[in-house]
Amino acid sequence: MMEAGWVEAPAVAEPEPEPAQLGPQVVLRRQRRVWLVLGGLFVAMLLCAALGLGLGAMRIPLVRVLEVLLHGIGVQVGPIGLEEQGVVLSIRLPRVLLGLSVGAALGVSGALMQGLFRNPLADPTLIGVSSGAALGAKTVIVLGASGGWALSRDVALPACAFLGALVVTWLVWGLARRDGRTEVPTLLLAGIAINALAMSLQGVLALLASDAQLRTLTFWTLGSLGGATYDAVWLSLPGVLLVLLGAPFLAGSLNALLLGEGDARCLGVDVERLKRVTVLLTALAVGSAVAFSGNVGFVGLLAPHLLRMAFGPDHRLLLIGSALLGAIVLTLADLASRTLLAPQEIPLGILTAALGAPFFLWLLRRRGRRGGF
Amino acid sequence: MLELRDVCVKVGQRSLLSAVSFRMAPGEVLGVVGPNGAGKTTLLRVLTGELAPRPGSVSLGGQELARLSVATLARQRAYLPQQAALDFGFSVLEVVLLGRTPHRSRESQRVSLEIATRAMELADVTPLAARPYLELSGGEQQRVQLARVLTQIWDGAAGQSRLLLLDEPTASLDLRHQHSTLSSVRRFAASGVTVVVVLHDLALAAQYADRLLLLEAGRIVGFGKTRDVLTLDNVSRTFGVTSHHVTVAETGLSLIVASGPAPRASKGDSP
Repeated sequence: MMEAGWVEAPAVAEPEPEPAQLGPQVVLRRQRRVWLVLGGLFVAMLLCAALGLGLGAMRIPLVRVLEVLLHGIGVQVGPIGLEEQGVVLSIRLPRVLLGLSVGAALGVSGALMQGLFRNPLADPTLIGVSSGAALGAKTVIVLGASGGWALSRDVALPACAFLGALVVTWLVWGLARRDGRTEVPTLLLAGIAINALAMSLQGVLALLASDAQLRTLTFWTLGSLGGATYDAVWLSLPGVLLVLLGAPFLAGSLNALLLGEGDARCLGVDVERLKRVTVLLTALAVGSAVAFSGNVGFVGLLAPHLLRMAFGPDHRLLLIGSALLGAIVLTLADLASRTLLAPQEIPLGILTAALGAPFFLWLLRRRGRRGGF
Repeated sequence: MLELRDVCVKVGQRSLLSAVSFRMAPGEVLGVVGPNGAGKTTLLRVLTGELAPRPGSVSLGGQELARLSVATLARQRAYLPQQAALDFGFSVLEVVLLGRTPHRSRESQRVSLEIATRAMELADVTPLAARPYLELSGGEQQRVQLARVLTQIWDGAAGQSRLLLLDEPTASLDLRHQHSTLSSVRRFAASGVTVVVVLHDLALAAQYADRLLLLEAGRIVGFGKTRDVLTLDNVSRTFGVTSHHVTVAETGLSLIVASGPAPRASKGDSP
């Protein structure tokens, strides 16, 4: 190998490496941990949903809730009071289901955005999806009354919110593309600019609004599940479920992306396709959710953050875990919103922000046991 | 077999590489040396596919890089950048396992872990396996990233050429690890991998590379055996320094050292 005169330096004696603490059991433990955490979160989510069904102006014990649900799907378990049945199945169940759907959507899209931007502070508002939905919804609220809409507002509002989410996201995405590539910093900046534009348009709508419309606008801005119906659930769930089914396929690629775009590409990740799919899934999830709930802040930021601090940044756990945790947080927040000041309802967004923000700050001060985010 | 034919890269009017051609056999280590702005990193970026040569072509194992799919290439070619941008709190083992990303659909986690374990031993990071990556020092992080890229192309399919690209892998390493890392890279190359490594330290390049490529202003000044490339004249001229030959009496190791900038500062750090 070397020519005379270029003799290799004598090998430096290397100390014996410490015995490796690794083996097949590590793999099993890692796999088991993912399933354990996801399983635990799923059970917790079911419990929270049951709480949401049982608590309220009329308290129904968990066992009774279960009986009513079983009765609802045709299993006879004994006499069921009509009133209980009405409260659980007609009033609370659609609301709880919508809460799970919205929470899961916000959680998973928060995790997707933080992975895409490689920034733990990213959330779906960055790509304009939330402000687009708000703009769509507010247009219907203010102009719908005078514009003579053929459709009823119950359909037009979520439809326009969803459309607004997709259109604004598409606009931001289009602005950030150059030579067939999407630059993530440009995406961020385009998002900020388009968000500002959407805000100003929302301001114009607020100026045009009557007093009654203004109240509705405020309510929508602060978010609520008060309008939950089964129709809303069936319209919101498919989009969210589709995203939940698709997201796990991105986990490995998003993990690689944390190393940087160049490194991810060298690891065989089609980075441009990954960005496209991630943004599309986020728009779909948030569009499906926000269309029915209004803007609910902090859930998308908090859920992935919390999981990352506890279990590290592996997206195989993070994506679905954030959906489950988001569903839990939103169900509990909604429960609080309708019970704390009953019969008055506190808008959901006020609660998630009022409780979420201090908690988030506390987490930031504490930092993760694994260092970093 | 890695082969470059007439590789040119231009950005605007500036020529970053012109007419670079060379061949490397599997198992060989190529040290790329040259002053700042000579085109060393540009060459690596051509080899990673980030920059397309115009004109010119790069082929690996007889196939043009540009025609291979991203996924196929990821199983044959790995790249260690000067600085990795990882801000998330993976454990060291998790970072190293990311190297198996291109293989994840074809192998069990058990196999991935076995390979990662062996790569970590080679990169001397086994004791760090359970530590959070972000708590490591810069040098330790660099060795972990090396273990990751070794993991990526640890095993090649029969007849498949493998290519390892390293951009200053010793930049933030202590003296012992500079040597242990490069000798690990040599051992890895011996398994049939072509290695292209950018180095600033001429002594390290001389000791660990089979061949050297000396670049200046995007052109090849010398390519071949160390003693043919690292001549006093070449080093003095390209780097703009006054250089001397030094021979270590005990081992016969011959090195070139610089004693200061050349009297006429005609060359030097010019881009």
